[in-house]
Amino acid sequence: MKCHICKDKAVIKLRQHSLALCARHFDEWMLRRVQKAISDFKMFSKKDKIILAVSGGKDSLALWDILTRLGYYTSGLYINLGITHDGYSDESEELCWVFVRNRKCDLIVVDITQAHGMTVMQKARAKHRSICSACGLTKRYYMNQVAITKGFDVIATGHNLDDQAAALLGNILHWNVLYLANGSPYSPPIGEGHPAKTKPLFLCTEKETTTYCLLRNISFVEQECPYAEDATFLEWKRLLNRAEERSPGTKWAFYRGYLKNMHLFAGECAEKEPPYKCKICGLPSWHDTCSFCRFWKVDNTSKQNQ
Amino acid sequence: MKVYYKGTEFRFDESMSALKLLSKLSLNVNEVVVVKNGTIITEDEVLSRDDEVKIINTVSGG
Repeated sequence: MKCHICKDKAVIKLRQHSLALCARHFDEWMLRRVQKAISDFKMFSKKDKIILAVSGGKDSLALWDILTRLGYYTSGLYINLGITHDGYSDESEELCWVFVRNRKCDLIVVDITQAHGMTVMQKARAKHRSICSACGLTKRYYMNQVAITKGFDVIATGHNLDDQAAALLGNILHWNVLYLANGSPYSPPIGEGHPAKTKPLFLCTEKETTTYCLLRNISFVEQECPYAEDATFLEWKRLLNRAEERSPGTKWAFYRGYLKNMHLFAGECAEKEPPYKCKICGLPSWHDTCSFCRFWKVDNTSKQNQ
Repeated sequence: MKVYYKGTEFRFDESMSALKLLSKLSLNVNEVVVVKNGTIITEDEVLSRDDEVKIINTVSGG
């Protein structure tokens, strides 16, 4: 297969765009896609301080590389959850350090075990809460906490088109109207001192971010999180990929349709500034104690082995 | 050819396209990247008996 632009050997066929590209033209195409996402949603400018949540995976490291190349100064935030299965968390953190080594960017690391004396898995079991839910709560809290306390204007995450479309499918199947109101790749600051939240990869698929990393020699963790292997979320992705295989463009058409119609879910469900300050950590909260502090700091007793 | 996918090695004696190989392994073309002898390829490319192929999963849990 030949590149549709230069007739050199293609490395990827973008079936949803009826386009085959060589390594050079795919690289240029990826930069344009991310810049288009940033521009179309006015996500941020080159004056903004951006913090990117990095996991050591293909998406966040591809995005970090692209933002840096586009001239956006971006710091990385790695949250080490203490997942010891096959050295998952430590390997992921190491790959973030490998990425930083040859680039002019900063990496901030939050080590949950050091900060709280136990891993997320141990705490989740002690609190009888699902690990994925505890992990999500902890990551969201530290993204906000680091952004607010260190004065970042914008939080960026590596969510791609597959993530957005799968989350949309799951939310429609369960009619989670609150989430349907807030599924945009751009969420403006909800108040003074709050960061905007952005997903600049929402036009790119997982296959594209993987290909980008391989072509740029970016080492990323290939192993899936051991706790996510049976996640329902993966099943939504597989369903959409089966539809995509029969009818290329289905995922984008599905998510684009949502973006055109998401105002239907707005109104009372729109994201607002929480009315309280948490009495323990001082961050904005919906209750007098925020859900993170209720989970991590209230009745913080029993430890269990992973 | 030797084919590596998610830590497992598969062996195939006959030449075939990458798309055919994915079909034999029940893999969706949207969920993997195929690397032949260290180079990323498109799915129409033919794989021969001496090739070393790595199939990289692209689906992550989010």
